[in-house]
Amino acid sequence: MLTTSHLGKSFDGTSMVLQDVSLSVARGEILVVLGGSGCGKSTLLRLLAGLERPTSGTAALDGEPILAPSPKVGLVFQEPRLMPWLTVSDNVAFGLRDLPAAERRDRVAAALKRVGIAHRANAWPSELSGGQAQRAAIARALVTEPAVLLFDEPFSAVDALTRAQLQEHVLALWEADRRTFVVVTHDIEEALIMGDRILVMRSHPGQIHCELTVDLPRPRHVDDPDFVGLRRRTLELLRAASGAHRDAA
Amino acid sequence: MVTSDATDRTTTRADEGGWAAGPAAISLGALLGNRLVLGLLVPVVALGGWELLAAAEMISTKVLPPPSEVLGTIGSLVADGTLWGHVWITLWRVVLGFALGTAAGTVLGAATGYSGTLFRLLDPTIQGLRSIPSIAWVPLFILWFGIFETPKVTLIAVGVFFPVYLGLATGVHGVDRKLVEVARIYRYTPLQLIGRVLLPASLPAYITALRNGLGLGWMFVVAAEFMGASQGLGYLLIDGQMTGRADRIIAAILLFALMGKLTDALLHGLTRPLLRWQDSFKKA
Ligand SMILES: Nc1ncnc2c1ncn2[C@@H]1O[C@H](COP(=O)(O)OP(=O)(O)OP(=O)(O)O)[C@@H](O)[C@H]1O
Ligand SMILES: [Mg+2]
Repeated sequence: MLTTSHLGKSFDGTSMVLQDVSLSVARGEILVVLGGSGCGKSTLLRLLAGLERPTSGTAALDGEPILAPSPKVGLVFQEPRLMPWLTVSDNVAFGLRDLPAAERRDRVAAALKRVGIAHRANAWPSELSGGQAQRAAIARALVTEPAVLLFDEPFSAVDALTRAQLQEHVLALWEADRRTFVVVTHDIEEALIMGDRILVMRSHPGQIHCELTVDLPRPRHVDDPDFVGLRRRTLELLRAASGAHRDAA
Repeated sequence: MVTSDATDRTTTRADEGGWAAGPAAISLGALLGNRLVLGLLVPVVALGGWELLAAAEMISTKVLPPPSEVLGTIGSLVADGTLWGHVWITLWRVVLGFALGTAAGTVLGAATGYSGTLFRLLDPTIQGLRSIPSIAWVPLFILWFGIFETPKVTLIAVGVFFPVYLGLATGVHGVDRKLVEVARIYRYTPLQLIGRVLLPASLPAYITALRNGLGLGWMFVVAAEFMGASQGLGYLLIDGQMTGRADRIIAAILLFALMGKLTDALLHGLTRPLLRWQDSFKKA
């Protein structure tokens, strides 16, 4: 189980980017963090990944505080962040440096197949489309088999169709072995398609505004009346969250 | 662009003057448009003129021996078997000095590039030393290391060190922080981070630095061989000066140019496969 308790982060020592964030993600659950730009979503994921140290409170995985990156937690960044001097397969193998070559090769090939870019294994990152690059980045995170996978708006830079495909793909990956996923997004539809639960954030300081359980059967369809209803409610919550910030300011 | 420009101009002039037939003017234009032809034009004309002036005894062959004589000198150096010795010892000094200077520049450049503390600790000193004209070290090196190989190789290594250090440290500082974070996520040790992210990412800058370093190595070997060598291309220069043989001096200069170009081409060729990813980026 992934938990945080009264987690807070400040970069300059005066203004809090995140404040008093307490959450828990059950094993095998998809938690979506939904919020506007600059509300601290990336910062929250970076704390969960151990890239940043909390200013106050704690983050913990299975009871152990997260203070540095761990093999149990994988992170897919907002951008693909592939090494331009490595081929796609070598990029995917980036986190597998301690394995014997043969096993590494097999696992990389399997991961590329799972994300559907096996045919691009020997390409350079500069030759990939945006969607392919993001798939490679997902494969790189998958291949080390972390218990928890964090996604930081991984589909924000691709076109709508690719985005829908990638969402489906990530859900299929989740169905396959039910790891714990935390997905950050500012897109309501994406949140409702992917999440078991949604945390709506407000900003300045970044805080959890409210929590929402998505009780829709999977696969979810955007034109399903229940989906449409839930989308309206979520939009209201998001408005209220930004209103709360405006009132406070 | 160049071709059409040149053609246009030639054609126009031919039309105005009416003294050149169309096809001839166009082929002259095409010839002038060819990069290689254009680049070789000045040296060929100069060498030919030089040769002719010398043959006509309008310039003293003692001051400026004609190209044919310089070639003859090189030929006789080959024939009596001494050329290879001179070339070899000079090449060896450059290669050894280049290797040592590159090793030191790489270690310090990577270390100060990686660690801000090391950078603040060492960079001011290194920059201070860099501002000393390297030739100024010569007397000190002779005092310390004698007059044989050590001071020569040391001087060359010093010359190579600075561009390699500077290029690599700057390159590493310029590496995208976002890529470094990926390595942090996978818990790379500092050495792994340097070897698998920082160095490859700064490879283009590093290779440019190596080529600069090699160029300086060839520059410094001349200075090094001026400090009392009994063999080497630099020795040929000094010897030519002492014995008043301009042909040997010019022969040595030509050999320096040739060796410098060849070693640079070799370095370029060897490192090019390492930048394939960048080539494909340029193509894209
Ligand atoms: N390293 C840092 N140093 C200083 N301030 C930072 C740093 N990282 C983030 N911040 C600040 O923290 C706030 C939240 O940033 P964060 O990147 O977490 O937002 P976000 O919700 O991910 O936004 P977006 O949706 O645009 O990605 C911003 O105001 C940002 O300027
Ligand atoms: Mg963000």
